[in-house]
Amino acid sequence: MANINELVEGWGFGKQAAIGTPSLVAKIWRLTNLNTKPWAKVPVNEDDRAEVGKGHEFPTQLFKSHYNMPSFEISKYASSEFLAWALAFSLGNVTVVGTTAPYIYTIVPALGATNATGLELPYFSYVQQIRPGGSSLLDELLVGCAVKGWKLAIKNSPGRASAMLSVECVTTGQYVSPSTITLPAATVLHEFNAGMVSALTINGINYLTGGSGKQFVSLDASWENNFRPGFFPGSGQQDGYQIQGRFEWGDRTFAVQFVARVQTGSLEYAALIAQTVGTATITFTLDANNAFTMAIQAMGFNVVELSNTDGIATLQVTGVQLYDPVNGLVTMSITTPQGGICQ
Amino acid sequence: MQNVEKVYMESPQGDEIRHVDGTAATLGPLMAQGWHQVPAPAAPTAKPQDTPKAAVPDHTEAK
Repeated sequence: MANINELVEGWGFGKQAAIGTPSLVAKIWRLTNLNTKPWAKVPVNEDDRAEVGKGHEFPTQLFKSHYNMPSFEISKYASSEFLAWALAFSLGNVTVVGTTAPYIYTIVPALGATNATGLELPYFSYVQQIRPGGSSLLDELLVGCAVKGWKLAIKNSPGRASAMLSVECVTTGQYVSPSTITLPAATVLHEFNAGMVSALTINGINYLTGGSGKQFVSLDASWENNFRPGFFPGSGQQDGYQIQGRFEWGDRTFAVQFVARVQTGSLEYAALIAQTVGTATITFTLDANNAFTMAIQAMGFNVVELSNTDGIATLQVTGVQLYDPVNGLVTMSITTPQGGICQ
Repeated sequence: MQNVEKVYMESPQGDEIRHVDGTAATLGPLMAQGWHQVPAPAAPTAKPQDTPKAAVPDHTEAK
């Protein structure tokens, strides 16, 4: 028996050399997770109930099928380190500047036509342990994990919960147990909160200064890679169960919604009707070593809906992020003390 | 004015490497077209004629 609070987790901030090659311990950090569930391993058996010739319709035998690994959520307060990690592993094209801290990561969605690994994103390893050692309850290293998507939520509330980042991960089914990994001390993260938003301009509307200042309520941005199933001839096996050998992105989606208070002459309706398209930039700045900017290159408004948020008349705006032929879809820029992310 | 560090970027076709400012403004458009970061190219190997004369054993004197 063990209290779930004994669960410790770590995962690779550096990428694996290949989908089936575990991360080196030097590239694994230990972090906390607001999701209190461990990552379940689900081997699936099948039976012979559909086969005739047994003399009856009932199953008589079990067969090993595959590892049906559920997706796993890493939910954390947004920090420069975790943002850099999540965005690098979910978008794929990463440039890092700097040989000493702070490092500046520029990240954009990889293109299938030019990505060195085709439709595959970088992979990382994930470690979960409860009392690791000779009498461990849980000590596993999951190999070949990928970021399926994420959701960034910025709210008008106090504290770290005002800037949350939840990341959905998938894994192949390959694992090593015991992990033989001694996790390092927990990495100290540099977290943001909504009060640290230092730039917030969407489609020409500045929500920090001027007539629309103080009117911003919340923003949700999300990314989804829509991975295709990774079973194929030669995808591999673990314990006799088939595992997935690749995660290729499908039709990726980038969604942004935000809520702003209604004012006389609110500009959002006008932008919708005029089909105005412009950049959208949101920046968090903690200090010179920790900052994050999401620069959407061309954003229009799909829906602007009058609503009520905590008794205040608001507009709920659904954006359409257009692919700009020169600048692409979105450019993420993160300054952080953590080096080696996705390297 | 703060010095901007530079990085090496390789074209999507792999036929060109540029040494560019490591700013999002510079990198974003390149990366959007499929350029990706590469390590600094190795320094060119010195050609025989580039070798300093003093480092070449002078066999003529031994004769």
